[in-house]
Amino acid sequence: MYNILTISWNLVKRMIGRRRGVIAYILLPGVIVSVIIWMTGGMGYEKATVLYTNLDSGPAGAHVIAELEKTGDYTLVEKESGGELRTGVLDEKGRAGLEIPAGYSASLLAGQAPQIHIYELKTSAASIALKMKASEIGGRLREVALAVDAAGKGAEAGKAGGTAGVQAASPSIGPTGMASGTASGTAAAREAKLSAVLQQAELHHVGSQKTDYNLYPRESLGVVTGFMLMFLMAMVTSSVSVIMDDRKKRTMMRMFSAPVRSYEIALGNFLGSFTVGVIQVAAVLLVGRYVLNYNFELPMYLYFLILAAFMLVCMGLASTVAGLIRNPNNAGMLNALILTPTCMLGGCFWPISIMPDYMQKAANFVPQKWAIQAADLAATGSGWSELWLPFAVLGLMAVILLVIGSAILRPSESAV
Amino acid sequence: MANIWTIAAYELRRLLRSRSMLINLFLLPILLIFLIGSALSGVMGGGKDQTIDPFRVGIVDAAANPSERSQLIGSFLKSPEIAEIITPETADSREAAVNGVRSGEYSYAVIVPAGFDKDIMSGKEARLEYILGKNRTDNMVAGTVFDNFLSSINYRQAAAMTLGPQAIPAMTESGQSNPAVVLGKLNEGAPAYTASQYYAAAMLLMFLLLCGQMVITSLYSEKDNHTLFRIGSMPVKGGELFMGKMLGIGIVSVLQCASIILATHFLFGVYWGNRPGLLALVCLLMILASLTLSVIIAMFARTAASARSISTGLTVVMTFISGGMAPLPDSWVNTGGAFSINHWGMRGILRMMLESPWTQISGSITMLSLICLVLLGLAFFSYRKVGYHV
Repeated sequence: MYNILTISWNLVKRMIGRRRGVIAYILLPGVIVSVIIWMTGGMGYEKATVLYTNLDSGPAGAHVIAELEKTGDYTLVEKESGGELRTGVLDEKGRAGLEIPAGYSASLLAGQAPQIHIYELKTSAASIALKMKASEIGGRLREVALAVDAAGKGAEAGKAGGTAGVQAASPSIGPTGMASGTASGTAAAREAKLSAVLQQAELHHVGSQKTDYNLYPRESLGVVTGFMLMFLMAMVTSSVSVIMDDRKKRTMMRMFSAPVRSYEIALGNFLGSFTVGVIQVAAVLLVGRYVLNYNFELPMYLYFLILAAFMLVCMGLASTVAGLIRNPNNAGMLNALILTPTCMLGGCFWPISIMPDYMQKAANFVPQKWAIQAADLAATGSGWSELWLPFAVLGLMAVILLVIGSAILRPSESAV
Repeated sequence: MANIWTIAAYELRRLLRSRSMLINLFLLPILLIFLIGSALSGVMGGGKDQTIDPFRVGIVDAAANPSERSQLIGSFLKSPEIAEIITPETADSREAAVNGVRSGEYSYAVIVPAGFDKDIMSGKEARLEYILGKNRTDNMVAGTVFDNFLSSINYRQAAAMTLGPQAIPAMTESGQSNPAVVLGKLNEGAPAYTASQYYAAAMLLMFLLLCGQMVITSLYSEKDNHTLFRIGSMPVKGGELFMGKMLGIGIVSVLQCASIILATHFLFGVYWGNRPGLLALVCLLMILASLTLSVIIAMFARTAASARSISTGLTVVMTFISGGMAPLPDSWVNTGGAFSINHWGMRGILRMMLESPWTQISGSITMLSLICLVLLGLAFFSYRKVGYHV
């Protein structure tokens, strides 16, 4: 035990014992991470910019735009033509583009099924929501067009007298037949009718109101936690490189020639870098909270515990990697390449719920998923009755990785 | 000249012999692109729906007695497609529902006002109240389900009020063949663009930037292994050594780049556009930028570890601010993102994928060349100033 503490204390001293170490390992990461948190946390509230062009002259196109505007989720920017819209999307002037084709209202009324076009450069939550909303409005518009059609038929049938019942009942009369049969004057009349219905619908007599007791975690929390985890993991790299240095400079061999066991060296390194990691986490949280005044939306001690538990897993992972790799030059590269895939899988960059099922199952093996879940649970005020599971999983991962790490450290071997 | 080739050949042999280097260079990029592609495939393909476990929604009907309860809501909740998504449960009062949501018993709650049906029939205002629960996804799903229902009623009410009630039966949920919204093609003529192309390009650029790490490793390992002394004792000029190293690593990077492009093309069907020459030019410029950038870092950093962490940090930050990792605010991409090398490479490659005319591509290539020139100049001067010696 004493040996472990000595080794870990020496590691801590080596890393943050001097002023340069404190700046490089504690202050700098703290400031960088909190600035990034502050940046990404702020963007959750920003509306997504959507470019649109409305080539339709009738009421339907204007209705689609008005309804989208009403959701309050988008900043709509108008473009003159379809070409301009596409260029705008390509230049990433907006998250997505929406084009209402020319003659949209007219072809709706003619019973055809015109389509709204959506352009996107990359998939994002905003573009998915836009697609859903637009297709809902588009579907409703088709229904309304059918109703206008039926009303027109009804009126005509009324004039025709006896045949009315037959005509209205027979579904075989195609809408094109109708259109050709009626004069252009009625086309205008239908458009006026459609416009009247849509104006009435825009009043939203039937609707909903949301009562929000702030029970659910904000979207920005997921983003912030995700980036926090990514950078914490990256910071672990620095302590791995210290361990690698030991091997390269044969310090590890010397340590091993003293009366210490292999697992003691592994545990000592582990404990030392964990201590540094915990100090780093605390620095990041304190700078974020009190300097940048960012509200994490959950108790600080819980967030600290979650991040510390995650740090523990990263340490285990790092010590396994450090044991596996004999050539210290590869360590940084491999670490970066473990970091990105696990962050993607664990939901640091996008919510896990949008991934296919088997990927969600695979995500269970990644510590990031459990840390994010714990943060979400804690933000909704869940107690330990629910929080124990992610913590238990994180703890288990850490133990397993540490055991593997200490088993393969083999301090007697030199670097390649 | 011969010296340069010898050094380059040695560098090549060294890189291609190391197994972990091979994994890093050739396997991991493809793995990453595969991960992103399949993680977002549900979204990109828009095909298979995910299975959602039904969650419980507390329903409160404020009507005084059971006979006056809303028929509309009742029959809506009974429909089979709704039952797959939510499990409605009747709560006695608004307080009970709120408490249920707070305690997690219900994931969501809906309050139906008294006389909901009657208000709709008579064309008055009728509003449901939603109470948001603890799960963001459930909130979104439940909100969408009920909002769709309400919007359908809203349009029917509007149609009934303006056209008369006889128009309503025609308003069936049209099972028409084509969806009301389609993803449009960003450019005519080119094969359909998918979002996986975007991420494939972003990852390619990230890995091209990462290849500078090899330069750092190589430069420092000569120092650390004391082989720089030995090389110094031979008739090799410093410039030759440098050029040879760059050449060797450059060749490996070109191989890596080609393998990523070919593998993604044949394995995942990523379309890289119809201008292989220009694509190669952009990749070469990216490699040059990455190599020269790492030389500059290596000249000024004290140890290999710090040089490596600076270069990794720069790569991640540049990929991040160019929007290659996570969606950023729109205003950012064109202001902050423009300061990253990736941004310009990305622009060029995306336009090639879309088969845009040359005039649209030339801008980003000019910009990339400018960046390369500046970096090359900086690398040259820092080499003259600091030099590469023990």
